[in-house]
Amino acid sequence: MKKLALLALSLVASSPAFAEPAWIQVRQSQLRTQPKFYAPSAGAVRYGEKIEKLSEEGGWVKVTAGGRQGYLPLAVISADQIVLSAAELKKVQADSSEVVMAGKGFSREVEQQYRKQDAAARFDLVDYVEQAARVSPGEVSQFIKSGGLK
Amino acid sequence: MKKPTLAISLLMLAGCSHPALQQAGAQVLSSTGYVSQAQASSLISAGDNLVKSQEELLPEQEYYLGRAVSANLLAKYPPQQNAASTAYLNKIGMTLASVSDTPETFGGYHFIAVQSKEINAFSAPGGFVYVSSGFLRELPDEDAVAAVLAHEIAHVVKRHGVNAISNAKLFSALTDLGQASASVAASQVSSPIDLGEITGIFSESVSGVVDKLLTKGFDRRQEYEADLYAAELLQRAGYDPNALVRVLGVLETHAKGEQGGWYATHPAPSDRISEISSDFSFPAPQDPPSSRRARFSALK
Repeated sequence: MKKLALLALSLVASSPAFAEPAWIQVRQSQLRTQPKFYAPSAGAVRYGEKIEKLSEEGGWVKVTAGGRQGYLPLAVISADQIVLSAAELKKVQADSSEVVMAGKGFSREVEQQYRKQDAAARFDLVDYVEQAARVSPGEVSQFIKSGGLK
Repeated sequence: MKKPTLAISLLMLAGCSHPALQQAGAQVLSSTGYVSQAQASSLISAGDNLVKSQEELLPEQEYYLGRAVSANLLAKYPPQQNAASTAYLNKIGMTLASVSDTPETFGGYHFIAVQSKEINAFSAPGGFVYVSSGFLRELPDEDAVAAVLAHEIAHVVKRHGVNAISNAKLFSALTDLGQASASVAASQVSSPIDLGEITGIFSESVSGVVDKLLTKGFDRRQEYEADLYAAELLQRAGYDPNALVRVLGVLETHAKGEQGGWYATHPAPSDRISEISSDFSFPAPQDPPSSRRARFSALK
């Protein structure tokens, strides 16, 4: 009887009918085919995109996004609905998850104002760093392998 | 305006904690004729939880804070424009970040050497990590470079930089702004919070983090926490955690006669070694494989 109850529970837990909505809270991420950082990509997900969280294990979440199924790092999703625009805000249901407004507070708009006030700050060098200081997942994967790392 | 849209707009407006905005919400509600005064009060109450009260910075907000902090740091310490060295640092950094609890940030991690003879390293919120060229010259192997980057990643993941500015006033302002923005977007009511006010708060926050990084330093508890997490990251990634102790040894050696850089903002290296040794079970020291030694030597 206990086994049956456990089986029923596990079926309920894994059923997509009990999926929880969540939203992408980083600019872009890759849906992976396995719960591993350098697993092959099953497509990109973008800021504010709604996904369905199916299960969670060891810092990874199994999700469906735009009809695709895959894995995302837990850190890239938010339980709060991220609203990107006024048009989107108007579609929000009053009984939905809590809402956060993207692009507000500390944002591109505020940075533009700040740049006018602080001429000594070198945003040109920040742009350089963002553009120059990055490597592809494939390069890192190869680096890990050739360096005897995990 | 159609009824359903209006209802949502009013709920947004009602969710605002700013008194002026709440008043505006009540006025709009009562002037529509769609709801009575009592119903309007109910809607104001129901809207309280829709646009969330902010209790921490969102990843996007951390990113813009990190960009502005970086703009100040890089004005003092310009980045080295060496593609091979930058790629190497980013491969090491991403190897470590990918096994952390925050493997991806809003704008991604970026690791780069900065021009300075000081022994120094720092990180800005959102994943910007900088190591001085003077420090890199003193590091004996790739595992030691990884130890320095792991310590800085730990500050990012643990949000130590952000915590330097976290206070009730900041989050109250951000909450008001988010809710006001929602109301403005939904109902075209003018916002009582202007761009100048939030830019002022932003500017204060940037100064607070820069001051923490360059002058005051994090508190000892945060530094020990970063050391411990760095040892864990090194182990998870397959690097030798003993490299962290070796780096602290390098700092100890150079501590005599040094005033600036890490020495001004970090606890004594000997104290850090004894602290981490009591909390982390170090494996026997490992010799890095020849391929790892070779790629480090090629860039030294």
